[in-house]
Amino acid sequence: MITLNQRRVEASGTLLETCRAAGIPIAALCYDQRLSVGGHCRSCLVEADGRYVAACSTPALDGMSVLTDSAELAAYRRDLGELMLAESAPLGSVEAELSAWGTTGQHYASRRQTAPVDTSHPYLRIDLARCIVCRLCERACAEVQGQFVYAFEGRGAGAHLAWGVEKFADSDCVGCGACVAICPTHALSDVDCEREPANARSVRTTCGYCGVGCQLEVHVDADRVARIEGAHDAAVNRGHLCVKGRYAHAFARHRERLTAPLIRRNGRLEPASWDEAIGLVAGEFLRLRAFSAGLSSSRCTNEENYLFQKWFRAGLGTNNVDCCARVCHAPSAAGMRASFGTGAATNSFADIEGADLLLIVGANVTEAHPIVGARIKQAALRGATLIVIDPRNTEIAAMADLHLQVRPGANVPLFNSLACAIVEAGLVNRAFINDRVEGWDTYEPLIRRQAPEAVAALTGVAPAIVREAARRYATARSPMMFHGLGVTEHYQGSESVSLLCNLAILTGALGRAGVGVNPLRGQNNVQGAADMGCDPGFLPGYQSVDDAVARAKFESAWGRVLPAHRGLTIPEMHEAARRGELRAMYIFGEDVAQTDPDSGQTVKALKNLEFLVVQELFLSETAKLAHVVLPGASFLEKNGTFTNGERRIQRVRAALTPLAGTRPDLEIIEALMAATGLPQAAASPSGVMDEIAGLTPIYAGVSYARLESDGLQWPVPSPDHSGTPILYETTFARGRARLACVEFRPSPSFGASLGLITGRVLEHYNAGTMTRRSPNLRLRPTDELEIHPRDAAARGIKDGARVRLRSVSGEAHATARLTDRVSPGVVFLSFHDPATTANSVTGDVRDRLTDCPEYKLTAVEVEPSEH
Amino acid sequence: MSRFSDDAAAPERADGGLHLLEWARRRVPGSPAESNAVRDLLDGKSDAEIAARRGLPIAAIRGLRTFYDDLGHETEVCDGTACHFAGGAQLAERLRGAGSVRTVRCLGHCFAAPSFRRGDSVFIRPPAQPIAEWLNAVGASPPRPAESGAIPRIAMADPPVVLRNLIGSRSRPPLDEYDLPDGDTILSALEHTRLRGRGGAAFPTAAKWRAARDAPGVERYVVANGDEGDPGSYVDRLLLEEDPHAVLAGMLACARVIGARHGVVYIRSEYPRAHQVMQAAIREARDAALLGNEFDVEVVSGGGSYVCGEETALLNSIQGLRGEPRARPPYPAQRGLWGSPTVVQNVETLAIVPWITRTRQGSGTKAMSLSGAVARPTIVEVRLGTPLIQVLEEAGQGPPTGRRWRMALVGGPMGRVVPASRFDTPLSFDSLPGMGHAGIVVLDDSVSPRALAEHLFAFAAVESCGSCTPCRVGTSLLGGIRERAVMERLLATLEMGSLCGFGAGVPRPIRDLLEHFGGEVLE
Repeated sequence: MITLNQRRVEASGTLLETCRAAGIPIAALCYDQRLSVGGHCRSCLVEADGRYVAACSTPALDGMSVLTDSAELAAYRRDLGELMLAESAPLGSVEAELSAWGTTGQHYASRRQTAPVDTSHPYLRIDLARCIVCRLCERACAEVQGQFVYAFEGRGAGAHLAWGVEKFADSDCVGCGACVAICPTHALSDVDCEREPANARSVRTTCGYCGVGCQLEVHVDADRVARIEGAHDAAVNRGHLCVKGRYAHAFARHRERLTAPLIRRNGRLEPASWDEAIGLVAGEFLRLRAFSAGLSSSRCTNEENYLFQKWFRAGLGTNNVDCCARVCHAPSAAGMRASFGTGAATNSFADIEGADLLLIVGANVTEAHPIVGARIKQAALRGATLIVIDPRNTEIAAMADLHLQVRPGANVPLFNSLACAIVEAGLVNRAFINDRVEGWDTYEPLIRRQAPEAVAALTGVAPAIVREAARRYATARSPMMFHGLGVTEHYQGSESVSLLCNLAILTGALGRAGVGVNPLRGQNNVQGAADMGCDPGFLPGYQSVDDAVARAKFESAWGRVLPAHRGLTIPEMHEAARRGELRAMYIFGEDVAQTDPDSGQTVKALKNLEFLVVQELFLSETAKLAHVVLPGASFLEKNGTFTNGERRIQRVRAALTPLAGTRPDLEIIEALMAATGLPQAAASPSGVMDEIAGLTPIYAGVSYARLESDGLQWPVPSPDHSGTPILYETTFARGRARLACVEFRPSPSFGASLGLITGRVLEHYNAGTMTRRSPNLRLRPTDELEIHPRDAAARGIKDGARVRLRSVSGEAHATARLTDRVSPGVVFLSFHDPATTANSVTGDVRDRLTDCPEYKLTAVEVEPSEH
Repeated sequence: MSRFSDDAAAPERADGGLHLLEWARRRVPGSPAESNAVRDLLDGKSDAEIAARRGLPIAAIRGLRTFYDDLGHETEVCDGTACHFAGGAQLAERLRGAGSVRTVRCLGHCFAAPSFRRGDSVFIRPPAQPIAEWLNAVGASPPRPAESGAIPRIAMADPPVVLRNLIGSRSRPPLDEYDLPDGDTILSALEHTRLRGRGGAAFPTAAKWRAARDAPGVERYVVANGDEGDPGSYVDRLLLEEDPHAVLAGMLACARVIGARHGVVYIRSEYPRAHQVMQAAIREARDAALLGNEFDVEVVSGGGSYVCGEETALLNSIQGLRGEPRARPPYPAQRGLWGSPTVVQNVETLAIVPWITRTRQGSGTKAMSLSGAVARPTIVEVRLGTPLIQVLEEAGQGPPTGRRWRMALVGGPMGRVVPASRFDTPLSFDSLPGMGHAGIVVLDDSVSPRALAEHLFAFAAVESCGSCTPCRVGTSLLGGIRERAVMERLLATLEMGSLCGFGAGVPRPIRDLLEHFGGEVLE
């Protein structure tokens, strides 16, 4: 207990925390509870046992006597405020606070510096004349994003915020906006929103970029997004956002948004009424129902995905329904299902802070999943061991204690050799193997043949590094693994995932906090789309279409007989279309012409269709080929739920009204269902979720009322179940975990003199449909080909020059960027710009088990180009 | 040579935050203290080179470079109090033609003011030469001034303790200083004799060591604070340069008490000779197996910043960061160097410790630097409580011929101003609180109170690290204030609110000036 202004209160933490807990307001201008204590502004001065101390940095100790206000303290604060005003002209909360202290700004001679306002960055505006040097921005940049853009230069009265170069746009900033969010003076502000509009309202929703699932507070003014902030109480992002989530929202009101259905007449897409369009689509799909297929959207809500597959299965009678999980993490689902029984992340993002080792495999976390990436960086900065397996020297790889720079396509021998090293070092968790694992006796003699030395020629990784990585992983207290598409998008993708599972199985790194095998899902709701049964083999909740009991349950609920045989995967749909066996296709919110491999073949398939419907925001490359285009709504304009990469089901809430002429996607699907004789009784998003809960055991306990705060992580088997942050605490879904024995079968592309990897960059999201229609385009105008200077020199390619890539599939053009981020023999290309046609070169090699394309290895040749 | 284990160097800041500069240290071989980015700057590497070598954003390096003063200047002219009032400004003006000149406070040659440094050599005015004549000689190229000689020292206390090995012939071999009892015996001797730190704060040494010993932590460190930045003080320089084994033995004693395996001697870059001597002494002690087994020590250089003498700023500087003080608590004894319990101790205190453990007697003495308007500037060891006038008369031998004393600045720019009418004041931590290390600069009647005030204002503004608002803004405004009420208010704000002892100490001599000389100080 301490005596606080003559009151007895419980001491907890610092004096500042104690005062705030006791409801006593104390100004602390440079304090934020998420960051380390700065102690710079000295505004939180209190009198403790007769001494003046800063409340922010002084622990509250039992028996202390503390005064937070007195004539002396009031006079002190007023003088301190005058000092601040002598130096700067703050706005925002500091301006209000200083005025409450009774400052005049006239007490001292002004020594304000005049620095030009920096508006060089597309999103951040910097006006140092407002800066009181509280240094929250510096700490936020370091301790939230881990970017270290800011430093204070000079000392004494000359100490000022700086970023190492003249123009802010040339700094190391990644545009996360953590500094803007925390700046109390508007010295840092959004370039287009220096002050919050007076009448703005805030809507909390889930970000539509990537599978992390950050919670947004969207500030809306006059039906436009004024500004987006991270929700501070959200488990996933705790107030943090990336350049996409915080800033790339201009697409929602972009002039290129489709605002009326389009119907192809005389070869041209022309505006039409909704009634006509719905009638046409319904009629054609009924006519061609036996030859139809649907590709659902992983960017759309669970409810939309659920109804989409319901419409195809029950309305049209086909299991030909798939989603983009096929081309990204289907191998994770398959590989993990084989090992554990369930194909989703075993643990939660919150475990990152508890792990003492992070193994990142084939995932460019800081660019593709920036908020998880930032949390991993923070963990590494705090001392967690970081091991990265990646052919590229990505930002996270450059930070790693150990970087295993594997040759593309050699994951299987590398992962096996890591397991072998664990076994040979005697670091296998035998108790875990005995209690919870099957297959050890077969596995052990086989894996012992995969020594790091034996496979080094294939993997390109020095055996000593492999053995050290294995030792560190196996001896860590809490080794947590994340993997990405560098594992799955390969010829042996599913098997590679199983081999990663082996590492966790061998060491018992499962079923508790801070461990596990965790695929980083790419699209914002790809987990949900798969959960909802947008898969030719699974009904919602991974209930197999050949399971008669499950099928009967759905047949009874939906009132239709359901097909019992598995449908077509996306690559199979394309093949069937090229052969003329598939005649109608419905593509919902996905630009396959740009993003599916071997675009020449994809376009050929689409052109061969009798009837192609595309539901989209923009006239995408795929939409240009459609017979009917239906204008849907963006995630900012609709209600529903997304499920993130840690199985967390979160609410999506409309912040904007749908653009005139468009419809929320759920309504479009419902209109088609009604027009094809399958009216949807529970039509609202929450009604659809109730229907899902009734049929899907892993979602059984989910309802909108329960998702209000921070969502729920499936399985949620009943309405009184609080969700499952960690899977397999006592048993695996398949009983015992299975050790997979996998032999290396090289991809046909393995061993090429130049291997192409495609992937994302920070500023853009997949096809770039949304981000390219935002100022992110200024940050990253086009795709670049990363090529090692040695390979470039051998081909006469200069930095910044245009180059042509050729493969057996086709050719693409890009600007060369000479860098040692890639090894000799490896080139990397992003695929965000339709003009690049990156996927014209990717080929038809696919994961042996799931059909997932091998985006991460294509044999190519590169040459200078005039194009 | 790495003398720090990896786990000892957990990349954690004492305040719980983290810093890429510390993390990036792992990329560069060598011990963390030897291989930090400040060291790169001192070695003359470019910003881009350091950024690339360590994988750091350039802003981080710029932040460091603009904090430290002592990077890449050819000539340093002393503007410490003694030099300032002995023609330091004219000297700087004179030298400005011959390459880049930095003003420094101070070079620790106050007994022969004014002085300047080039590389490892410090030059002084020959005692007999008039200033004008000397300035002419200095202005010539190449300069022909005299290189500085030995530091004068005498003892009024008998026997001397701090200067025990430095006056007369040495009674014991230098390496005997390492002959120490076990940690408990050492601690009990310090408690018994109530030793208080001699760096300025006069904190009970035993209490600090006990706190560091009892704080949880895997590693522990001993840091010798050899950043004697106070103008008018050169006792630490004398000890570092002429009795390094006493300092190292004091560190070993501390290591034994708290259980430290590693120590750092932080020496300001303005004392190049001290570096060389200390390095040689460490080698000698290692060769004799007195260091390097249970406990080893390395030397880390400052980069030119007064505030780095503040213990938490000093720790940041060792860690390769801007030398800004940390918010306290936690105190270094709880979370110091790399977050581990650390004792930071002034070199004079450390040098006394071996004597105390040997004799179990309280020293009761203090070595003081005497300079300015006295006939004989010198270091003098006196019994605490000796009146100032007695020191000035006996050690200083009165004012130089024909000069009259006006006042003395005792304890540097955060110390006390004693007017000549109060020269009977006893010199002790209790009767002259704030006297700090008690460097004494005597000023004659050619120096007005306003001139001293302006010197102090300028010092405060230049050396403030800029980390906290009262000090950053307040020190830059002091010189322009003409109203006493405004001045008193600002002084109170500095005292109440400053983050560290620098801002809180700046008002101390100003208040004395106002008390003794009134409004004259503001005119």
